[in-house]
Amino acid sequence: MRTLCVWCPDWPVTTLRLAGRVPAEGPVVVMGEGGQVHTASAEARAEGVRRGFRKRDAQARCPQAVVIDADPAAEARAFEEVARALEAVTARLAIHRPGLLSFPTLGQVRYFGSEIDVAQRAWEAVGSPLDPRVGVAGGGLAAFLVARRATPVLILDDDETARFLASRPVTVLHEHGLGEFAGLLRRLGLRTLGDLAALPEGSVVARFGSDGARAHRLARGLDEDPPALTAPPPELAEAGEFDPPALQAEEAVLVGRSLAERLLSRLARHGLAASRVTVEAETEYGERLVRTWRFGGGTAGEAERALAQRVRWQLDAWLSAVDGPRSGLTLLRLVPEEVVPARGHQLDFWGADGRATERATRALIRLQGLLGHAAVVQPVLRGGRTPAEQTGWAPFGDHLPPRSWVLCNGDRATKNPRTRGQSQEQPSWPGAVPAPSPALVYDPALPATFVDASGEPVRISGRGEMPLPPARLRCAGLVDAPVEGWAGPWPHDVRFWDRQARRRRALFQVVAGGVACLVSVEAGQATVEALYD
Amino acid sequence: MEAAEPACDPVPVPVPALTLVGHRVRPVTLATEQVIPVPGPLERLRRGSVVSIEGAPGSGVTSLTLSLLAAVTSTREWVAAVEAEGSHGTLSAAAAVEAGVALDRLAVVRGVSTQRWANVVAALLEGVTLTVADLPLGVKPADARRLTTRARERGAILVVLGSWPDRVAVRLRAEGGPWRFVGGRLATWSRAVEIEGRGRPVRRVAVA
Repeated sequence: MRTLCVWCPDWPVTTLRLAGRVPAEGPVVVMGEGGQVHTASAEARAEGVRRGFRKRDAQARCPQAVVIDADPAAEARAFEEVARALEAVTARLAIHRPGLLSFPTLGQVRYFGSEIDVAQRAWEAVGSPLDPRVGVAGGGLAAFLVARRATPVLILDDDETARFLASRPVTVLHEHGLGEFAGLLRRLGLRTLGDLAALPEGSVVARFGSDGARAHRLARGLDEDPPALTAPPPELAEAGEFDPPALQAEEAVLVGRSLAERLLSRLARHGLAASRVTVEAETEYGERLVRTWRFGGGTAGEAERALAQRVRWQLDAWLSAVDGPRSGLTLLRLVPEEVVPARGHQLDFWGADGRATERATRALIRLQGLLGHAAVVQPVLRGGRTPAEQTGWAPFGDHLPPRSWVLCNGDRATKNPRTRGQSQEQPSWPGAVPAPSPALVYDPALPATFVDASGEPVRISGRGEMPLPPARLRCAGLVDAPVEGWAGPWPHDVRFWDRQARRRRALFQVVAGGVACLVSVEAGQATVEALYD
Repeated sequence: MEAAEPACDPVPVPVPALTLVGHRVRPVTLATEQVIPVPGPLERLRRGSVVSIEGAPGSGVTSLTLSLLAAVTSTREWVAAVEAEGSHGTLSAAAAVEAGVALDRLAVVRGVSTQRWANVVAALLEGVTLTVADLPLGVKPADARRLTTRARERGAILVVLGSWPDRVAVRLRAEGGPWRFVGGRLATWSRAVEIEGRGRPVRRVAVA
C-alpha cells in the first residue's frame, strides 16, 4: 500500500528547544529509560555520541553537551500540533510515536493530483522550522526509511522501493520491534533485507515462526499485515463516561488505562490484537476530538502498556493545549481501527511463568499509576561493602542494570549483551563483611552509642587499630546491653582519591543483648547499619 | 477501500459441541495446586490464606519472611513486599539472594502511607502470589476483613508483619536464638519459632 511518512528528526531535542528548556544551538543529549542516551542532537552526533550510550560515555565524547532527561509527555503534546496541521491534508493519519506519523496516499492522490502534490502539501502543513522529512514509498517500513533519506521530500515508485529496501541492513527491523530477531539474522549471515527477501517465505516461517513471517513481509516491502479491508465491528469499541466532566488529564488517564485494558483483553478473547486504535473524546460542549495511534505488538502485557501510554499522551496533549477543548471531557472511546489475528506468544516451557508474570506486571503497573513510577521498585544486587551499598533499587519496568554491577570491569560486563544480567562473576570487595548478610538494612542508619571499657566512644586509628575492645552498645528501641561478642573492625577508606568525598569508617559485627547487628563507626560517631534479623 | 463493504463480524463462530463440553466439564484442582511447599517446620502455605509473623527486632522475623519469599519464587511465581511509610528497615538484596529469593520476581512498594495501605495491598493481591506487608498502626478491622476476603477469593497469600486484627490461618511468632562467633564467623542455629493455627496445638520449633 502506497504510504506517506512524515518524520521529524530528533523530535525530543526539537521539543525541548521549542519549550526553551535547552539552548537553540549546540549539542544536546536526551537521556531515556535505563540511563541510556535516547536522542542526541546533530551537533552531539557529530562528536560521536550515539543512541544507547551511557551518560558518562556521552559526556566523555562531548563534554560541552547539555544532558537532560526525556519528557515523552511533552513530546506527545508538541507533536499533537503537527498532527493537527496535517489534518488539512488527510483524515487517516496514524501516529506511530511522537515524531513519526504516516498515512496511506491513495485517496489524497486522487484529490490533490499526484503524490508530489500530496508530499509537498504535507511538508508545507508541518512547516519548515520543524524540518520535517517526507517520504513516499510502497509500505510503511519503506516509507519511513525513505523519509530518513529525504532532503526534505523523496518519492520512490514500487520498483525503486524494492531495490532500495533490498540494500538496507536488517537492523532497520528494529523500528518494528524486531531488533533481537535482526541480530539473529546478522549472526546467520543475512545482512540486508534483500538477503532475507530472497529466501522462500515458507522456509522462513517454518524456521522462525511469527517473527520470521513479519520480517519477511517487511523485507518484501509489504506491510506487517495484509491490509484489513473491513472495519472491525463497532461493538468491539470500549467507552467510558466522565461524570463530572474531566478537566484534568490525570482524571481521564485513569479511565483511559482501564479502557485500554478492557479493550485488549476483549480482543484477546476473540483471538485478535489491535494494531491501530483511535482515541475519541467528546466534551461537554459537544466538541469531538479524534486521533489514531499505531502501535506494535509484543506480549499482551506489553501491548496493554503501549496502548495505555499512547492514550495518556493523547489525553495530556488535548487537555493541556492552548487552543484545546473549551470544556471538560464527558466521554472517552477507544475504537480498534485495524485488528489482526493475535499471533500469540510462546510460553516458557516450564510451568505457568508467562501467565504469572503477565498478571503480576499488570498489577504492578496499576500501582505505578496510583503511586508514581518510582514507588514500585525491584531490588538489584550490586557491588559494595555495606548491605546498603549492595542493595540497589530499580523502578519496576525499567531496564535493570546488569545483575553484578561492577565498577572495575563494568565496561566488559555491560557491553557484551549475552553475558549481561547473567554474569556470575562476583568481584571481590576488599573490606566487605563476610556472609551471612544482615536481613534488615536501616536506611538511614540508626544513631547509636558504642563505647569501650573505659566509657569512651570506640575509635579506630589510621592503621585500623583500637586501644580497648568495645564493651557496650546502645541504640534506641533496639538494644542497650554489654557486648557479648564482636568481630572486626573492617576498615574502609572510601573514595580515598577524592579529597572532598573521602570517608573513613570501620564496620563491626556486634552481638549484644541477644541481637546481632552491623555497627559502623565514622569520625567517632557510631551507627547501626543493619540487623541480623 | 475502507468501509466500502458492510462491516462483517470477524469473530469466528465457536464450535457448539466444544463449547457444550466446556460447560459440562468441571475444572479439576489438584490438592497440590492449592498449597505451596515450604522447607522447614511450616511445611506448606495454603493459597488464599493470611499468615501473620510477629516478633521483636532481631528475633528472626525478616529471615522467616525471606524463607517464605524464597519458597514462592522457587515455584516461578511473583512476590511483593510493602514497606509502610516511616519504617526504617528495608530488605537487603544480599540477604534475599542468600535465602534463595529470585530477585527478578520480587517487587517492593516503598513508603506507603497508612491511608493508602489497604488499597495497595488489595491491588497486589490481585496479581501477585504472595504479598508481605508491614502492618502500619491504625489499620481498621473492616479493612482487614476485606483484605482477608480478597486474598481468599484471589488465591493469594498475605503475610502481615504484626498482629492482624482479623482471623489468620497461621500465626508465627519468632523468638530468636543465640548468635555466636564460630571460628570468627557470626552464626546462629536453633532459632525458636512458635507456630499456632491449622487446628493444631501451639508448638515451638527450632529453625536453622
